[in-house]
Amino acid sequence: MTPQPDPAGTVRDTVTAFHRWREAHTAELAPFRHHPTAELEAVIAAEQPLRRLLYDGGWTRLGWPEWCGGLGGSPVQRAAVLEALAAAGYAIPDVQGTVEIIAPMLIRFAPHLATAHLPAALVGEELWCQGFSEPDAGSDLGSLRTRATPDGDGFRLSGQKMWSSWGHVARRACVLARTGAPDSGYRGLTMFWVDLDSPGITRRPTRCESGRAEVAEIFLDGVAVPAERVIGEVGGGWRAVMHLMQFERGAYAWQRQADLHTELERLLGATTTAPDADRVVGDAYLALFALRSQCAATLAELATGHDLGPEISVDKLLLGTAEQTVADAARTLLWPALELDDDDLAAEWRQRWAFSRITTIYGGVAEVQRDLVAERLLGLPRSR
Amino acid sequence: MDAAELELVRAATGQLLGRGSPAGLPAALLESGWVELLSAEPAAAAAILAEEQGRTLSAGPGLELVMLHGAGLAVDATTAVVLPTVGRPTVPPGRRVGGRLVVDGLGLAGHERATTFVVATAEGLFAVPAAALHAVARRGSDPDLGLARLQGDLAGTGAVAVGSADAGASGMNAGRRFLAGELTGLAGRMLDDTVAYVLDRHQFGHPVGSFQAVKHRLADVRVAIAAARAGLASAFDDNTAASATAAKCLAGRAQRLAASHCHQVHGGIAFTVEHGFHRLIRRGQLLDGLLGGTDELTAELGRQLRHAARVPRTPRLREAGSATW
Repeated sequence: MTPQPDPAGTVRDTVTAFHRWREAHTAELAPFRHHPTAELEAVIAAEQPLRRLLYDGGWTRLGWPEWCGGLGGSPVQRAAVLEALAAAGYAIPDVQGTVEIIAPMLIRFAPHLATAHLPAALVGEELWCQGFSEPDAGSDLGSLRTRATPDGDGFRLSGQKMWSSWGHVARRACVLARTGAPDSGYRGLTMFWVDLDSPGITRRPTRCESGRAEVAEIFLDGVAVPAERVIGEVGGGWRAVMHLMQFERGAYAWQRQADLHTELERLLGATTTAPDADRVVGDAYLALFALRSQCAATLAELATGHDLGPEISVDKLLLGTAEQTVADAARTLLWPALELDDDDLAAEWRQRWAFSRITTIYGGVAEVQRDLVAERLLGLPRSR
Repeated sequence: MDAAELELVRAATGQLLGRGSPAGLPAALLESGWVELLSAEPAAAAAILAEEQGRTLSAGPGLELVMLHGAGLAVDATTAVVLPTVGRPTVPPGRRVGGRLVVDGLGLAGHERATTFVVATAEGLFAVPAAALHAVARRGSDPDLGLARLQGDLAGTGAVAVGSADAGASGMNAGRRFLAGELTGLAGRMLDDTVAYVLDRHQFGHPVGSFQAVKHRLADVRVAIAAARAGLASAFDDNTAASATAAKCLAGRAQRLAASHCHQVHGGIAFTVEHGFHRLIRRGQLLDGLLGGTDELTAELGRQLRHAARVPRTPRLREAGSATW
């Protein structure tokens, strides 16, 4: 019999069962050892068979409630499974991160939407994105201007979003919009669940340094959104977005460190002429060891339903540091091949290095995280 | 132990360190029940003593006690450890030459109390009588640490084998974890003192702690300390040489960053002897060097990873019950 996940099992038993399942599916898994470097449409298509395989095996349903398509059990089990996949040399599907980040907010603040849409996201039939940042509201998210105006039983949304990862290829987005007065700051915001094929939506991909369109602009022009698509309460958008950020800095960070360990390990197999290779590898490992140590504790906290508070900014800063330290290590170890060669290894690391530059900016720029650490953990006064 | 009990132990340990002299501390610690705690809850006991020792700048015996305990040897008030000398982390302080044992290493404050020293060699651990070693005080950069160079050349009969090379390695791991805690405590002390200072000190009509350039330096220190604490918890959980070494490196980095940033944002006052910040700095410099400096050990970790072509995934995920949404 094919090994199956047991939601009541221990983390250790879950990993053991997963590895047995994996060994029984070596042939199907064979194509998924590397992250695709193609445009995101092609990435989705390339990863879909793996997502389907993991879903059918039950592995990516672990740790989600049964009432929204999961098997129950703990998210820590799923985190362990994704890590086991990476440890066996496979690339965790890139789109997995979007579910890990957005679904917990739906489950907490809009269970009916989680019931309706999470099953399709888990199986890989639909993809989600965030619609938070705007041209004039980046780090200062509380100043965003996209308006949601009451209209009959629902709302009409108008404004412009940008920096939405997967925005041009996603089917739905959680969109943060202003329902309060223009000067209501973060108190006047509401989170909406928006179908991106709605009339009034135009999307434009943004070409990035990594060589592909990673993000998109989303233009909303009187987009009708029914009242049942409000996530949480009207005026409760900030609470919802802060809850979501915990998972962007928790579960997603765990997934990234699992991948980064595999990527660094692969790098050790490449020949290098760097005179300080030992130190460079040591530095990269320490950044991963720090991130993973912090992250393991965070995952356990999140799984118990606790809100993490300002300490989560530490995780976010450690994630950015680890992403960039590993990418910088590759740049040093693969010198000069990374600059000159046109093979897959060089191309992959060039893309990865370029992408690593955004990891201290997206999801809350590092400078704002430092402000939060200084003010909320050290008790220093607000900056002037 | 729950959080309240741990806090009690922490307070009691801090008081003990504040009172004792280096030579008297081991006996005081043994009487306090700390060694029993070390057996029952090694991570909590070592981390508490280590952090308190770092925080209070005590020249305490904790390092030696946990190394003995980690090596599976009896912990008593009259046994001390010869440490490898600073700058040569992979060279044991003892060397077998023919039938003899040549000793050249470091003793810590309070070494005068010892009647027996434990010396690591490539072949294992040996106990030697204190009378067989010659001690020369090394004031160095941190005279408060009370270091001494310990040397001896003993006939084989004078040295008693007390543990295997593996036992010695376990002792080394325990020692590195202890130093990680001590460095973290020291970095935490630097940060706390500095936060208090930048809240109090005003320039341009505002606390200097309200300026972003100051805040970001101290935030980076706070992050480095959090990483060091998390890394140390991993190392206790994992119990390998690699994780003990990595934990010591993270703590060494936290301490180094704290020394640099905290000194800077103190402005000129920390440059004065009267202020005393220099005592924290020089303690950090020397503790960093014990059992391998951060730079040496970082490169050593990298060398080992490259050799094995494997990146250890430490720590493992802890067991968790069903989710609460």
